[in-house]
Amino acid sequence: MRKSTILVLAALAGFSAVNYSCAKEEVVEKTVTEFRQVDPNSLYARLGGIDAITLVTNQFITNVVNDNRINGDFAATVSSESRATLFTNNLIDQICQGSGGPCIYKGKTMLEAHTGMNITDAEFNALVEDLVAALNQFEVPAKEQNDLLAILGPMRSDIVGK
Amino acid sequence: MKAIYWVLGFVGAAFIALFIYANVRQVNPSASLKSVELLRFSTKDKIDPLVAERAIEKLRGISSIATIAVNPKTGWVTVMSHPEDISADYVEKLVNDELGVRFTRHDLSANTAGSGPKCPAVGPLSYAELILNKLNLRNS
Repeated sequence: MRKSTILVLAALAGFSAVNYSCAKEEVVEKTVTEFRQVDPNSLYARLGGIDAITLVTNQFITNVVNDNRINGDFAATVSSESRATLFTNNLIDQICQGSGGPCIYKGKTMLEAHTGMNITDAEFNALVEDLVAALNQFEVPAKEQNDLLAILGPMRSDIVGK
Repeated sequence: MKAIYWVLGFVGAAFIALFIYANVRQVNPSASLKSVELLRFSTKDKIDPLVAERAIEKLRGISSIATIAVNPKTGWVTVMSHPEDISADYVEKLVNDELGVRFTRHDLSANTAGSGPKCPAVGPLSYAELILNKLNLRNS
């Protein structure tokens, strides 16, 4: 009797938890559904979708880690498999969302993430150089490169000197 | 004894709830990407730029290697690989063989260059996301 009561209560707890999760999910799902309708003229589509964004982002991060001017700031962030994967996926989501793709960025805001880091203009410029090198490597046309940099450019004020 | 049943019941129920949630929620396309690892190598020997170019082409053709960056000036090489498909030791062997010089692998977390605290963009929510993705059968 006692065991069955516990089992029933446990099942109820599980059911409530799922219900709560699903209720919260409805809100997110609606947003995701809106995001998932990709405009064929969006930068996301013109860049080549998630596969192309993944290729460029992977190369960008590899360039940054190989760049002695700034890799110290990223060393701890990519020092293990789980951290490197999280960081890479966060960046892919951010570029995907910013370019009009079906993703939602779930990382910290740029201001939150960079406060206290004292990033200099020179470091930020080095980062942009590494991104441009990755875009050039995959022969991303100049218009798409400029459109992407225009999306990322406004983040500069939240990153430099914080 | 009774308390143990209660705890086990709730832990079990919470896990089941988490598992179901992980499998029914909408996820970003990046959630289904393979995990990555960054490996950094250096050499004091001279890297021939032409050999480096050929090595980059060859290594990029290997599916378990995502990307590679070689800087012949500084002698640094960084490889992003998929650790479930290839070991770090084998990547090191490939880099040594293809570039024709002896490289030393570096622990990335030991690098202290840079102007301030390390990039903290990955927060606790990102780890929760990672756990949910691991529980998602659609990713397997």
